[in-house]
Amino acid sequence: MIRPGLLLACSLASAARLLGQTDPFETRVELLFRPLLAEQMALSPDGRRVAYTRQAGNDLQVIILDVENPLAKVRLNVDEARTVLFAKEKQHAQLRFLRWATADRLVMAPTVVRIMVPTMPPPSSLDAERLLTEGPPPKLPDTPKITAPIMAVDATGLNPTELADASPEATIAPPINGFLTNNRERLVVLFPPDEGGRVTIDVRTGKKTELDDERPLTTAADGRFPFPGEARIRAMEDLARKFPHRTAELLDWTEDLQYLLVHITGGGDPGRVFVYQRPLNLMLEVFRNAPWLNSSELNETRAFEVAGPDGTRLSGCVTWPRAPRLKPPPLLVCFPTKIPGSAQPDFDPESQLLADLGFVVLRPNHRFAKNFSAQDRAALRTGLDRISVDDAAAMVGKLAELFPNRPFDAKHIATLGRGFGGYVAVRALQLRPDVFHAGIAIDAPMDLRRWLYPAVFFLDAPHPTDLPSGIFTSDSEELERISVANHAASLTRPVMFIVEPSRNATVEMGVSAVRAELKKAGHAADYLEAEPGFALGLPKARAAVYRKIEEFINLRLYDYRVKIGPSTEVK
Amino acid sequence: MNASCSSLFSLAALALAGTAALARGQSPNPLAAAADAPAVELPPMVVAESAAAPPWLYVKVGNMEYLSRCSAATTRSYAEEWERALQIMGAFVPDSLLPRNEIPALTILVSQSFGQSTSPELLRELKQQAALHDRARFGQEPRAISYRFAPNMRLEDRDTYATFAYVDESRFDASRLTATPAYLRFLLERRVPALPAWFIEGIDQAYRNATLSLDEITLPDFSWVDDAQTRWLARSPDAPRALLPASELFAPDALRGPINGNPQRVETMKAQVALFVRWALEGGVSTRDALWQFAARAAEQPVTELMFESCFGFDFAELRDRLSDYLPGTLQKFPRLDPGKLPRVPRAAVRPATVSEIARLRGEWERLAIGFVKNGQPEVQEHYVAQARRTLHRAYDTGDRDPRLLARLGLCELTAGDAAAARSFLESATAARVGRARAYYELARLHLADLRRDQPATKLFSPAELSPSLDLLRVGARQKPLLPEMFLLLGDALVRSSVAPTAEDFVLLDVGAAAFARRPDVSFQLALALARHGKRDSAAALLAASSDYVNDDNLRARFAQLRQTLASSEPHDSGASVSATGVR
Repeated sequence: MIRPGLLLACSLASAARLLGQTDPFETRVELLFRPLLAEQMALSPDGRRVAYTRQAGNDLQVIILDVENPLAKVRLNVDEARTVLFAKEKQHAQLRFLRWATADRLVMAPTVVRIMVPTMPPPSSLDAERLLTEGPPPKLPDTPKITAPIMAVDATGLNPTELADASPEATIAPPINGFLTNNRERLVVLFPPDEGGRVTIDVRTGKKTELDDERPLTTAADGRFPFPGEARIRAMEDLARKFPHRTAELLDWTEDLQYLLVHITGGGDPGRVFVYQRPLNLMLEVFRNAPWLNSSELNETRAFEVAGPDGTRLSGCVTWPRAPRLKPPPLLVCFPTKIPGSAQPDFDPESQLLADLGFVVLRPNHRFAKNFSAQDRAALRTGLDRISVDDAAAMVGKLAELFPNRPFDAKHIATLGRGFGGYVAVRALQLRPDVFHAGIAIDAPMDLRRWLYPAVFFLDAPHPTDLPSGIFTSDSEELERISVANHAASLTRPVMFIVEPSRNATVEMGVSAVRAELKKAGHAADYLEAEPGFALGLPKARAAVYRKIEEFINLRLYDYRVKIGPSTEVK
Repeated sequence: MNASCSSLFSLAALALAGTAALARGQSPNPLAAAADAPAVELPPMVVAESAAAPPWLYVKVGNMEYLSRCSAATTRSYAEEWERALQIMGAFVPDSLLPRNEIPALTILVSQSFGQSTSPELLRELKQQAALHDRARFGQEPRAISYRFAPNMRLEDRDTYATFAYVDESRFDASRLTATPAYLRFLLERRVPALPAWFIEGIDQAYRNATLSLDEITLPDFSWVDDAQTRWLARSPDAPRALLPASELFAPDALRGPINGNPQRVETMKAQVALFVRWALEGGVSTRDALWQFAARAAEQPVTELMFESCFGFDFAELRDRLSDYLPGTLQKFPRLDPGKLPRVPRAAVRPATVSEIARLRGEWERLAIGFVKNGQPEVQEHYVAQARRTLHRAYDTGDRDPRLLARLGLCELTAGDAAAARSFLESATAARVGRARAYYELARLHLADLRRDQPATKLFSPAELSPSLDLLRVGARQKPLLPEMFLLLGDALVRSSVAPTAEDFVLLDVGAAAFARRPDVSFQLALALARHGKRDSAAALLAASSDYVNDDNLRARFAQLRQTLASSEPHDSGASVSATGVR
């Protein structure tokens, strides 16, 4: 029987659309998937000012914030987005160096700008031979040039000075090697030997001085003060006490270690930056990675670790719905796209959205995400599918024990994944139908052999990067065994395939084969062709897909014994 | 007796409703002197009982008894509206977080039209005192002193409190009656187990200046730390703000030590507890309930993240984030709370007061007044003692042996300093099983003092010797309000006992430990008793749970010493290393 509560949200969204109002779900999608403000930051040596970068349209800005007078922010345009060859979109500019030299003087250096495109033909074997015997050829007039300025500015935004730039012949930016330890007004820069070699530059005047000392005492290359290990451990312990279940990253600090700039992430929050004012024992929040998201509207997320079936430590993240529509809420297991991949960040827009829809969302990390050895590679060769599925099932089994106050409905568990993760999501239904009751696969290969080796089958498809190379060969028998398509008949749980318009031919082929088999067996799969905007991340297209996912789960997960009619293709 | 005064109790609104003139000290203050004279405020006292005086009326609504010399209509509307005001207060604090008391509180209402009725002798005495005071200032600038009777006042004792108010009936509008923030704070501070300071402070700030009505409650505007920070955040929601991590916000030692005690952190803490409570109250019924549940649990045991999470459904770090995000939006907002559907206030059945009621209730007020003047104006104490005795004996001398009257007589004599007289009244009251915890405590204290007189500090007493005290404490310790001194005395008596406590006594020790976890002096005494009788683990656990609340170096040292003794003694040692005087 279909639970009426689950369909209510869909109905409300439809009503909003009919009335021509802005669909709150689309707005939510846009907010959640908006790129985070991944900024570079620096703390002044007196702990009073924070400088951070910010993208403002095409401009890269540096904002200088005085924590004692935050309304008097200084904004400096320091760079602009770069044109990317053969692409409509521009690439956001970044800084390669941002650090306070003194309490009132900031040094920054944009990343290298290549102002001409190299036009030299690739070297032939003859050229290579000549290179060996005659050395490099003389530079041609069209050799690529770069700009790589190093600039300094007062905390007030006044007295901007270009301290240095790459020479006209340079092909790389002169590396910055921090400041002199005993005089932070002197920036250490490494020029080629014929341009001065190692010099110090006065951050106020730009005056260069050759550095005689072979081993001068300098700060770290990034300009930060040293932070002894013991003191660092103590600081991290402090932060762990202040922010339990969160991840703290030290960004910058004052010389006396009394003021620390700290990035805190986790728990569903996209991240915040604090100045830890140790003399006051206060954490001053100065920056949010996503100020457009209010924490009270986010779903709580917790990273966790449990022992796997063989004792291996398994890790993952779980997100609980703020407002579950059913009690207990259903569980959605989202498999990682890549293997082994890396540990998933606590904040994940998709998990937030799915939790908004009322699901508890479990995101298992692959067991090899933290450390992938040659032995593990061998394990994948014989258990590529099993390992992920059994580990996920084990995590599901431990979840209730781990969070006893956060119940979920163990009888209604669905899987979801993209690419290889989508394959695992469907494979889980074949291998462990006792645990997983429905699945959604987005652009997922159903036949790994064709997917991994398209050229062997004369298919025009790019080689996937979701798996480490060299696990299988094109004739590996294991690929037969673990193919979803080869065992389509064993797929008795409801499944939904979502494909993108620019889909991979091997994906399309595999999905078609599985759908045909399922149709023959009398339980056709759901199928959705996503709008073109889905791949581009357009909110409307994204929202449409998530609505369909919600509908699918509501209808199939909660009523999958109902006879399912012919599948509908949504375009 | 500890008596204190808080003038204008609950009458900020009452002043608007009809006692403004009184508040300015006009009509009932014949002793008022020049405006620049230092005025000594005395508790009001009604002595005249002429035939022309209106009759005393009595009514009990909720847990408040009224003795009124206003009209029946005024008395009824006052009592009913006061009950309504308490119901509205319930939107901030539920009944479960208010003190439980078996003794009803007392309000005495006197119509302003009745005029001043203080004893002529007292007035003469006070004028003489004022003159003496002037003469004593020989060689200095002559300066008049004036006494004035407070127009309204609250007096309190360990186990009860009473209010006296003159009412201008011609201007009295009961619908404007509200409970003042001071009254709410007073109630919160009396609750047992003690509510955490952050809750009291937060509720106080939310309630202060709130607009209260039957339909809607509007919280006042909010200020963050200081004007500058408030302005910054109001202008820019992204402006930096410092918030304490939740683990520190709820920790008893969050402001202890030179670094933690810096003014900036203290101010942040104050602002943040207010923010937390405001956020929880505004967040709707579920968040409000979670706040109350959390406060109740925090009163009983140290706050943990698990405790918080089980109430609110998310963790400490998220709370910090939520408060931070909530902050800028609430600065320019006046959040509204829905008090919900309030139950009907029962009609107050006003009737003429009996002689016994008049004596008992007026006598209670006058007894409390003794304690007040004893501390501040001992020169007039005798008049208050005489007046209280007169009032209480008016019923007693006619044969009234109501245990409540006897208990008040006993406590009155104690305050007056006549322990022998007190003992006889208290014996009678406790024998009649009066519902008055303090009566049992005071009598037990007198018995124990007799027993210990001229005895060495290490002397242990037999059950027979301790029985008179312990029997009283066993009864008194079960009455509400629970008194910390009751458990201190119980612990003390058990430490001096030559035999093991009964199972019932151990239960009482547990009750005391749970009720006064935030009173390390009580915890220490109970731990000593437990340790003395072989309950080493319980003693150690009790010390561990209370150690965070120790502020005093001396007590901290005693804690450490006892913990060390407990840790060093063998498990089978049954507390032999803990002597009757404490730790060896």
